Amino acid sequence: MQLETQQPMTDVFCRVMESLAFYFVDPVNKADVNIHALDMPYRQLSMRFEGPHHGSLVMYIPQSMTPVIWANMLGVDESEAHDAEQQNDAIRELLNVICGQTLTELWGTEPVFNLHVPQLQDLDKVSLAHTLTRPSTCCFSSDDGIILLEIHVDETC
Amino acid sequence: MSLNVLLVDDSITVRSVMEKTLHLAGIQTNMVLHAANGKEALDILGKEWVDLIFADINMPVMNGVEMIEKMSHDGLMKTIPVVVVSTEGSQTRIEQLKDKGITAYIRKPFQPEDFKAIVDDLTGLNNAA
Repeated sequence: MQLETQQPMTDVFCRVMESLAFYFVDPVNKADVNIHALDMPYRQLSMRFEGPHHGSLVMYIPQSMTPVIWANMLGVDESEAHDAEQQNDAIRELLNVICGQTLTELWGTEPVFNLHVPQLQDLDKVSLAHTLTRPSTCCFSSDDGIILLEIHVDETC
Repeated sequence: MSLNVLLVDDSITVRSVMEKTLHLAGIQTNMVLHAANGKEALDILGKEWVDLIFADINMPVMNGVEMIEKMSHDGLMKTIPVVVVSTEGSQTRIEQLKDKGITAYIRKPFQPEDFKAIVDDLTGLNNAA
């Protein structure tokens, strides 16, 4: 499963980040990531999907990235970022699109999936080292730091 | 031709981006209305004349499918074109939506050209040449 998900997830993530958020990321080899690069406040976004395959897509982004994404999506200046809920709305929508595109990339256009509302959680300097070691985790570098993306597939019906 | 457009999505970010995209696509609007779910959209449709609706499917309170079904029971509302704008990638689901009467489908992330092509089709501009 791991080998089949890595490249499609990487392709989708880079494509959506660029086209929806005008934000450029580079895939990086997990082995090359300095673990201390993850030692900063992060946000965890997760989105559950149900259908022929059940599971969740989880994204870990530096907290400093949230206002940048919001500003880029709306085409406004980052200094105008005052409303935290609007910024959260923007990154939830970002994960929503990444998840929808990822499911199609992995399993094609026939299956019907139901997507749940993305959940958001702040992680204050929690260790993400264990996430980095998981086989399904994809790793990206960005101007704001390292971004992690992983998929959990519970079962196949 | 200036259009009254209704944007229906639970994300205020998406509604704002859609409104900006309409302008970038050169689509002339008279009024752009916002609704966060199907119920809010139906309330607006009861008060305002709307030429075209862009609506998401997955929304709280009342989703896009329920909204389209309720519109189909109203003599006036059922004539309003509904374009679904969603992250949905399943052809099966899209065919189901077409059976329910949607006019067109745009997948997120979208581009101004996606909106322009549909509006041109609906207003007959693509057949003018």
